Amino acid sequence: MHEGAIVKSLLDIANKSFTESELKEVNRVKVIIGKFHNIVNEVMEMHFDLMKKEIAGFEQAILEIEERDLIIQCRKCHKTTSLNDINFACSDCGSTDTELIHGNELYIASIEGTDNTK
Amino acid sequence: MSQKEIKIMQKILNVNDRIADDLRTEMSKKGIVYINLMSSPGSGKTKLLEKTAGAIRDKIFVIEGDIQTTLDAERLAAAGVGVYQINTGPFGGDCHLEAGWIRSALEEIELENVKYLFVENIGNLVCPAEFDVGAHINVVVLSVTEGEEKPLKYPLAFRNSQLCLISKTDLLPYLDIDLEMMKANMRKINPQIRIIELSAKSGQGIQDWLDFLAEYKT
Repeated sequence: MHEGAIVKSLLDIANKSFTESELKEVNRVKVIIGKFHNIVNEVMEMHFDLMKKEIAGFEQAILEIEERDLIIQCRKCHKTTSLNDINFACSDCGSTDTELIHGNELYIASIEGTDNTK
Repeated sequence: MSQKEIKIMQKILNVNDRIADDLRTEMSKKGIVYINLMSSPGSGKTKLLEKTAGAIRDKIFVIEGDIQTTLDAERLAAAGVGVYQINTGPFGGDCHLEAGWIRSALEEIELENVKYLFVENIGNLVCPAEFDVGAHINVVVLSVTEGEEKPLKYPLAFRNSQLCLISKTDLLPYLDIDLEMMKANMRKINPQIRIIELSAKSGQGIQDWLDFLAEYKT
């Protein structure tokens, strides 16, 4: 349900970059989303397809979502653990003093489009 | 004409996060402890706030978030609590509050002598956890009727909170819930989380909650 607000924010950023660029139009918006965020890609795409129609230059754009798995790093032994089930304990030494190093991303990576200048 | 990629690499919610940081700083300067209460619908947030207002000596103010109705705000106002209602229904029905909503609300609120500012977020364990409202303390409320596995299903809310209040403990004699399993699941997500068991109805644990608030330094 929060995908709509996230798409609105990412389109605001994308549109600002677009208007400062020499692109004629945008045909791809790339985002990086960690699996910790409970985001449903299909819902993101649905909101994106609705909102892009309201923004000049984005009408033909597609949303490309790069997902990031959950990976923690132990603060004691520094080993990394890829999490299949969500349990923030080091798989090597068992310590729960860990840091989420991947999986919490929520970034807009880039916009891509046709350049009018060449 | 050629294809070109423009790198951006920004946090999608950076505008919200900036407003949230400003709010946190502003409340710290005023000496106000700012708490964001998150939970599913019906976990007992409003009842807890009624109880808190009745038991605490310091002045509290509540910003109440709901998609529809002013029912919770009316309950709090009847309990003598200063309250401001945000309804997201007329503005697209957002299922969470964002920092910008709080900033707009604060422009209309008089916080003189207020020691604790609460946001009672919209009842929903998914979306509110995503948006920093600028609080000093995120508190997730989980009632004993909701099940042991909820922390695993909604990890962000538990990971992003400093405190979990397990509410409605007066119902425990009538339930099969494994409370230790519920707490173990919370600690799987957030090993540092503080947990207080309480019942706003019986009063059990309320003093622990008040002590937690009193000990917090902005």
